[in-house]
Amino acid sequence: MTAVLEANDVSRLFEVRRGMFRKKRTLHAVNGIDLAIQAGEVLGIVGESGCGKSTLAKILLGLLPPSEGRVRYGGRDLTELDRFAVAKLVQPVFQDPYSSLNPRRRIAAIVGFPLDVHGIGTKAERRRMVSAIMERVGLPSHFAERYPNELSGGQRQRVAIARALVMNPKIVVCDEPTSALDVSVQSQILNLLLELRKDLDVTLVFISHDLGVVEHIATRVAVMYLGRIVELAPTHELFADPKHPYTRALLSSILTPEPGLGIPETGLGEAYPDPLNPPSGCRFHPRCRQRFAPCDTQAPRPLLASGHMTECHLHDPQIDGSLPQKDAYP
Amino acid sequence: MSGGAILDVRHLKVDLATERGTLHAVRDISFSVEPGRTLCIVGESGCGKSMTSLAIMDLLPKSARRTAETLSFRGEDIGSPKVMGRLRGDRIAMIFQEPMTALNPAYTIGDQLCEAYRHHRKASAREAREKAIALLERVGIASAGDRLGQFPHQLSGGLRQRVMIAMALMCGPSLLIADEPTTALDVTIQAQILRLLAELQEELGIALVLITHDLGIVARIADDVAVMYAGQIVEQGKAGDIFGDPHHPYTRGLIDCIPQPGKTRPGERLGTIANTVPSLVGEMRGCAFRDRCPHARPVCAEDVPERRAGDHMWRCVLEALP
Repeated sequence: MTAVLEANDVSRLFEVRRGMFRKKRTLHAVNGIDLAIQAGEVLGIVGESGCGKSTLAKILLGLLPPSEGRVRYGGRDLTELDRFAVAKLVQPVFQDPYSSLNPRRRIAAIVGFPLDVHGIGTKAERRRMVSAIMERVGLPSHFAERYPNELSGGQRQRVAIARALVMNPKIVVCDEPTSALDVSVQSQILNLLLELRKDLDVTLVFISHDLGVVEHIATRVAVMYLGRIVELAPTHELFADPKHPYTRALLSSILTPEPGLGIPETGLGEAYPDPLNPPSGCRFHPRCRQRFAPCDTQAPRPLLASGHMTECHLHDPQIDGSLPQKDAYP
Repeated sequence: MSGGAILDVRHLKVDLATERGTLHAVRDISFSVEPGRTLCIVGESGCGKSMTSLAIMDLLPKSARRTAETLSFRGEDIGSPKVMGRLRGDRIAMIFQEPMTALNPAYTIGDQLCEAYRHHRKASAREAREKAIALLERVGIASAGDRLGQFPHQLSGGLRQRVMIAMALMCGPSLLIADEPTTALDVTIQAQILRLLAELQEELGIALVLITHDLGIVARIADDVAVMYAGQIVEQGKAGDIFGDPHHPYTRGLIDCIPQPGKTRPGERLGTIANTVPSLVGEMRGCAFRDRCPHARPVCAEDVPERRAGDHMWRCVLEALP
């Protein structure tokens, strides 16, 4: 397999000022991420709000330059490419189909807009391409002359998907594409994305907080915590044998529709830490039940074993496992 | 069933006046809740589940008109605004979806926690404060005394929702209505809040009405389930029966739409429900689900029978799903 998109040690900082006279502070939204997206895969990215998954999505889309590190598309550095070239490679689908479509333009104009911007084909060719892609995503042709407010949430999300695909991109980055939709509509959109991936040979990055959906659609899953990927593995492996204590806690919080199982105890005692003031050592250690001697002082290194990456001292052979366990939740 | 019921709702209807005509948001629903039990009302957006909760609390928007044959709380008629005014926030409490909009940003947590308690119980400021601290600790908020002086924006989403729960419990209610209490929260916090609600309910013997669109939550927390579609309860019964043996095509369709580990294979096609929800404006006859139903037949356009087997109820021309 070849990597279509690579991120090497990518970080993104934000200067945050809380109050007019307070000092500026630095927020590491994304902190040293290495990621190689393989052609044809569906990469799921999961994590709690504030973990940096949307910032990472914007970096991958070329909408936000990384503060440090490099992003490369098929071997070429992002900084060498102009916005037009990037847009031909990567396209977005956002969460809210109500705010991501221009309410004053007709559906055909919205879907065909990328073609206009890039000056692709003649007017007639563009019209043909628009109607072909609209048919492909399941939008009836009479929708072409309608406005977004005449469409339901699911239909709007189909418009957003058609607009992303009309340029024939290599990668589509979907940031919570179904969270604003009802379950019966969500399943339609998930089915559509899976079909399109097969038929059009497009690579998907699928960001979601719904782990059940990610397990269903993704082929590989990255778990993010406070700006870092703490575990990355093929989906079935991650769900069958999660290695990082945070991944285990996340997986235990899934509420599958099975009556009688009760509500799980996640064991994540404390609330999500302040990203402006991240914990020392392993950033997860204040909430970790299994933390031991090195966790609050030493940052764990990424450990790779047959395609399964984890950042946790528990699995590091160089760390002495017999060191005393620290009391959970002081 | 209504003998031991704490909340009894019979033939509740809510109509909304719109520019296009009368919108029948809630179309003749009946249910009851017993002490110590959890009833989940589940449905997709626009099915009338939130209107139902607002109708019980007498908090409907001005354009809405509510009619009901019975609306009673422990035998008292809560259809009367005077009775409801006395019970609301005292015996009957509500938790809303978005704690940031439900809490007043201009008042401290302490002020908002104590207000209803002092009003209903004629308690002193000190008593109210002590009660508030005890409850904040009960819902898992550390250094509760300091939190009382803070404003809502200083708290995280999970903490705000805990404050909302503490506020609802201040007067020791016997009925708690929670409208999508965890929808705005992360999955990990969601599990914590639901556990807390279930614990408190068992401990205090509260009757809980939980309104949600999430079948996962329903399966894990509900004793009884009411599935709403287009303003009606289309199926009602014990959680085990609803999930194990659904009788209404809509319930079956909803369950098939979500990926279930062990049942749906990853990457496989998920079930879908064709078409969209019908308009609730104007007169309606027959089954509202018939345009989307894989089992629809001409007879569905006529009045739908209400079928029962024990305490399992469903509205469908079919006695059993094929």
